[in-house]
Amino acid sequence: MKGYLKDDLRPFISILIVIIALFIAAFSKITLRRISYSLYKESEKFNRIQDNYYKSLTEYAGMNHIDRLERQARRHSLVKTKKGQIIQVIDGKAIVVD
Amino acid sequence: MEPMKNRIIFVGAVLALLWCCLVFRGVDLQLLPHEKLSGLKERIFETTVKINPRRGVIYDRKGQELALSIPSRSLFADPQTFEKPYYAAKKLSGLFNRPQKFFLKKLLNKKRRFVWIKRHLSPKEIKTIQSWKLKGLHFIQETKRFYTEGPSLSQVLGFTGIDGQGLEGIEKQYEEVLKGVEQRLIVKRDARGRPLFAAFTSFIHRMSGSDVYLTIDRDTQVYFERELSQAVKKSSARFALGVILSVETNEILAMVNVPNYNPNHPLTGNPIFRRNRTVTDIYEPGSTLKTFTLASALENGIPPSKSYSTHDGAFKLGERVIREADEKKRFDPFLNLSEILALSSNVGAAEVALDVGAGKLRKTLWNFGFGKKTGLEFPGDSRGILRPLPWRPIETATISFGHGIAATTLQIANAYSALARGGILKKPILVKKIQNSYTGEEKHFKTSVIQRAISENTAQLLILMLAGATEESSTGFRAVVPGHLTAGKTGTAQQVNFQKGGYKTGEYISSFAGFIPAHKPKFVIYIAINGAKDHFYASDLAAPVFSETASYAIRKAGLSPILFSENDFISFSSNKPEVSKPQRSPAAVGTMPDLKGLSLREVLKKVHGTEIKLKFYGSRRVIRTIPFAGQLLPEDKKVTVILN
Repeated sequence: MKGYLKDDLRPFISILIVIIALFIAAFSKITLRRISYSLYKESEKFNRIQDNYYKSLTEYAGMNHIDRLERQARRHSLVKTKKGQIIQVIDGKAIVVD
Repeated sequence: MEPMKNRIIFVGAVLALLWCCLVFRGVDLQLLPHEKLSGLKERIFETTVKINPRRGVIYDRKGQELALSIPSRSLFADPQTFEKPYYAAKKLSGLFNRPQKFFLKKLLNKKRRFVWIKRHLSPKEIKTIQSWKLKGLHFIQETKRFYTEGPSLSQVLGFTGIDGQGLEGIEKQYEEVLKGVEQRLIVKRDARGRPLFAAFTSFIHRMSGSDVYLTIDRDTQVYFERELSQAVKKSSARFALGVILSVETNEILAMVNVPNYNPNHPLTGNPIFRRNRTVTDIYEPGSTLKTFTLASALENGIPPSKSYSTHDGAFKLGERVIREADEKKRFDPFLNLSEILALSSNVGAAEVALDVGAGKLRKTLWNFGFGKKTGLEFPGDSRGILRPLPWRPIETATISFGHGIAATTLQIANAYSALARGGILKKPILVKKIQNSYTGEEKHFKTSVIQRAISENTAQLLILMLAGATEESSTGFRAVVPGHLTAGKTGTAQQVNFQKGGYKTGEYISSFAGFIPAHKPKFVIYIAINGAKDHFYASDLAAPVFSETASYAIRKAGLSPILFSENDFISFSSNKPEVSKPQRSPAAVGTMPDLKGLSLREVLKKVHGTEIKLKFYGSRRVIRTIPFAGQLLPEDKKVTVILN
């Protein structure tokens, strides 16, 4: 009985092996392609992030420009230093010599 | 039966032959090289991915971004697939304010698949075009150069063209470094044309060009520009130039041209203002050159105490007359070298030059870098004009006070930097380092010595004289920064008339060259205000700009003032106490005179006519002498004078 089954199943098993092998090959190729698409997508995302970074740098440069900082300082009642002005801090008190 | 068998064999053989042909054809197509099929395979299954590098960033010395590339979108059209060209042309004409014909010509050109409509659109323009939903109009991602400081430093940075290529300044000089390398990858693609990367391939990101770090300090640059702009306005001048150098490293900390232009819109404004005139434009330096005339005199053995006649303000040399700049001014009948410099006497300088001789004077000027390029790696570096020998006496005389010779702003600043450094001429540098943005590899740049212009002793003596030139009653008095030792020279020169020859009336170049602190120079600042009509004297125009700028630079560098003692501090209500002047007793012959409390000029005046040979240390006022006052002089009459 066993021998009879073995003989009958052999061609079926061999075809099954061939089909499975073909599936594995196809699946690997699909996976590879999927990874490639992911890589491409991530690459595009990275480039967009880089672009946004450079755009932010320009905004930052505008924010910390010396003219803007001086305007903000004046708004908070900070006075521009005068030429030759000496500010000495003694015991926590500032002494200004003009 | 036999004929049937033969027919079967024959048919079988034919079928077998056909089958063999098929197999061979299969082998031929699959295994053997086939040019036509390879080409077809490439077109169908492969695509070339072009990765445009991002242009490198230009930074200042502290890493502040000055120029960088930001993403932008440009508009193109595919005329072959375009549906409504007349409608589109009308819309585009309204949006971009250009004639309809201009766009129609592009859109109706059916031979082409790609025509530019507009490069580097603004976000508002992109949104408007997207709302039209016109088939055939497409956007493409590009990068656009953006200058964060606007007009500031524009002539140094330069600008790029529409395709991102450097056209002026640093952008042009370092084009190969900044532009990067374009990458082309041949990769497989899918049915929709999207590239497929192999699993083991890393991220394909845009390779940037290398980043360039300048020696410029952004804050000092902006401050300096502001001061010069105000001076230009005050004097109704045509333009102003300025350079700040670090004495130790000879790095250019600021390089100013005003008026300037906005490199974000380079084609607006006068093209004359696009070039870096501190490096390209030559002019007569005027009285600032007297420093080097005196350097030549000292280097060639003329003692500082030697006096020259002022000829009552004018003297005849051949057919020409040498006069003082201000004919109304009258100096003492005799001036020593220090006084010639402090009072800026043209007659005195001419006498010194004639005494030194043309050959030696020219050699000193050449050693200080006049008549040759500075060596700065920048487009348009000019060598100036220093006439070859022989010079006629009138040429020697006029060159001594800065006429008949031409130099750039950078040359003059570099010469003063050499003097401040003790007489060593070095190459100025504008780029500190170049960094590969991908590998992080850095290439640093340092200055190099060109030659020794004068001896250390001569340089020190000249520095003392220049410090004297900023004392009260000197022309450079308004250049002083309170609390710090300042050394410098003013210059007020007439403007050359290049069209008609001679000099223009009513137009002057007001200049000041100096360094601070005088005892240990850190910064050299040179200012030239060109075409000044009102308040044009350097003592009124250029010297105060030096003072303001130097004050800012010193404060920024964190250098505390040194010229103060308890006397300089004021209490909250009282005035500054008077510093009493020391009593001077007449010196006996052969004994050391009392020089305590005198300034350098007063010392030189006092020892004039004696055999005393002086050696100075420090500046400002005398605190001690060796030998002491009243002691016998040594046999060689050499005395040491120590100033505070």
